[in-house]
Amino acid sequence: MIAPSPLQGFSAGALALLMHGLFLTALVFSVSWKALPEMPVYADLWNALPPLAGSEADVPSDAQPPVPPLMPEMPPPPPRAAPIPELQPAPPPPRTAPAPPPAAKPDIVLEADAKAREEARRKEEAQRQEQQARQVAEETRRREEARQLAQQHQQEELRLAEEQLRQESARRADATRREALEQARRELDAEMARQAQADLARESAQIRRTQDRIVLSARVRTILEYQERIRRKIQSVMTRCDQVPGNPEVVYKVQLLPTGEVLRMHMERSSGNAICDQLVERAILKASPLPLPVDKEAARDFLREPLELKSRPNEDPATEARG
Amino acid sequence: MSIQRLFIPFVLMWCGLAAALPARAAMTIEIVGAAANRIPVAVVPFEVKTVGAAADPAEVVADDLGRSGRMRIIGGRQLPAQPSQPEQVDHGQWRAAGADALLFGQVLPASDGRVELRFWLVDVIRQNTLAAMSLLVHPSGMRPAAHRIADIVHEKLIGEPGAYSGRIAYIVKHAGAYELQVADADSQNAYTVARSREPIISPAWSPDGSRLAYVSFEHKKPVVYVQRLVDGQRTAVAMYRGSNSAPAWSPDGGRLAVALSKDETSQLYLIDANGGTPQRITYGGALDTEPIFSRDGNWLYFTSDRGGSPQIYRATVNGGSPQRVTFDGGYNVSPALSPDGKLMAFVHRREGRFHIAVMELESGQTRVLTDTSLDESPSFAPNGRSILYATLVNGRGVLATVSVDGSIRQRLSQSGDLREPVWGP
Repeated sequence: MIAPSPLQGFSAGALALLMHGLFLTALVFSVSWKALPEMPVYADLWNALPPLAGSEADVPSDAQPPVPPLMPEMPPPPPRAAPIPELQPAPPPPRTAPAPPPAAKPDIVLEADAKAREEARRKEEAQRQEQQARQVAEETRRREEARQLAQQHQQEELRLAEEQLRQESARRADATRREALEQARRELDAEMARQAQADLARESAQIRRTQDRIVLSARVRTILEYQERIRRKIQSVMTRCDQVPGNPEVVYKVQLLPTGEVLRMHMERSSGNAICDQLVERAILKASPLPLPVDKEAARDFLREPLELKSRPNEDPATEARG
Repeated sequence: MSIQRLFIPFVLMWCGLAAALPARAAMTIEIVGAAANRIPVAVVPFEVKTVGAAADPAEVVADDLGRSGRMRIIGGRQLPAQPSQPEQVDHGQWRAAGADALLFGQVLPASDGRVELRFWLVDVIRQNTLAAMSLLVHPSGMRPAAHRIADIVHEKLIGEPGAYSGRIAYIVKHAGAYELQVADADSQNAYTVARSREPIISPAWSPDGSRLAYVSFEHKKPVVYVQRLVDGQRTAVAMYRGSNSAPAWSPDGGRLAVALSKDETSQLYLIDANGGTPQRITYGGALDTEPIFSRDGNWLYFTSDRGGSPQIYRATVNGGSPQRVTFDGGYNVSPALSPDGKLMAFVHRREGRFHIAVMELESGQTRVLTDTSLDESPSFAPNGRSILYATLVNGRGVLATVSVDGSIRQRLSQSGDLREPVWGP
């Protein structure tokens, strides 16, 4: 592309030589340099296979880089990263002779320059192609790696997302469960509270009833006590009516004042003897005021209706066997 | 606390409540028995406005009522006041003094020398007047009037007639003499109807109370006499051979039943109250005596040993076969019938002791009323509530009364040896 000059022709040749040399050097260097890091990988795998060559074989194997370019043609390995090294070793083993070429190359350069040049160019070309291929491969590999990485990343992300999702859903489920649990507990609590409330209400009702009964029984006791007091007081001023044979009974209805005094009374049932009726009437009036409970409520039982006072003055109190 | 433990008391309480409040409508309280059997009566001395001393009728009334056993007398210093008219009565005051009833009154001069007894009986509890009456009496009739007041009080408070104003007849044995006496029912105010150195026995009141029949030995043999009280005129109605004894008045006062031995042993006869021919009632060799008429006059109850031991029988006044009345014990004599004819009192021997007993004729149920040992001659009070009889205390005859239920016994205050009392109308 540049216009030829004498100097230019010379320098171009020299430059080309130099460049070839540089390329060679670079090639060798790059191969040897490149190979070195991969060594451990190869060595590991070779050991696993039947022994084919000595340690020198390493170099020739390096001289067979064309094989690797094939690999990019191969369908990209599954997105797994680890298995890749296993596939790579397969092609190199068949080639055992490549070792001599590197050593003969200097010789070829010296003996036949053009040929060598040509050779070099071809080689260079090949190398360039190879490099290109390598670059492509590299690129591909890198891309693949990136892709894998991305994929991996993506998978990771997916996994994470899944995880997150799972966690999220778990959390959500958990939350739901917790919520349900919480709800259940709340309901239980509420139910228990309700029951407790009901129990309390029932118990307090029971207690109230009991208290009512106690109050009532106290009232009944009071009533009975004061009935007895009234009975005793009237009896203490009662006179027998011996003029009437047998066991006469007189019944009076007596309305009391709250003070226990007789407000009014009338005979409900006569003994049949006016004098005997009078004796009983006198006894009731003499007993007035009749003793009444101090407790207003109990006293009311004596005041609400006229008291029915049934008297049998001739009966011996000891013979009062009936209820 | 355990509900169960409280439950049973509750049930009991409810039962108690049920018992206490049967219908809940009205509470019933039963008062059984009585602490007292005497009605407390305050008797205030009467206000005497007459000139000259006269017995305070209140005193006599109080004695009578107190002796009844049915009333308890509040008097003397127990009296919170001395009212003589209704306006002066403070019911609460008397009630506070423990009285059920209050008797007070006045003795006022009346025309022609008589006195007026004005009295009131007040129920201080029921606050009403039970009696307000006036009696016009001769000053000498003050005691009988007082007994009448007692009768009225008794009837107003007890519900049955009193027997305070009745009279009794009895025989008093003095040293060497026998007297037939008549006295007030309290044995006071006595006077002699007949006197004899020989025994006088078996006095009997005519139904109207105007005459007495009795047996006197003044002629050395028993003779039945009938004597009018008003003038002392007397008639020997049975003076036959042998024994003439045990006169009893028919209810109409026209005839006497007597025991005569003019034909054989003592047998029962009817004879006109003015004398006449005896009509024989009983026959048989047994001894029949002490006849009394039934209330309707159709039967004679009498004592006879025809069954082997002295028992009471009855026979119709027309004769016929006598029926035995008493069966309890080996000695039942001297029958007396109550005014209503339902009860028969008699002398009943038990374990060698002689008691007054009473029999319900309808049922034959017999009750011994006394616990003294030598009781005789029972006789019913006009109200039929008590029985007068004589008993021996330290060899001396005393008069006593017992209520027909045996619950109240009284001994009459007296002097001398008294026998054969009989309660007059």
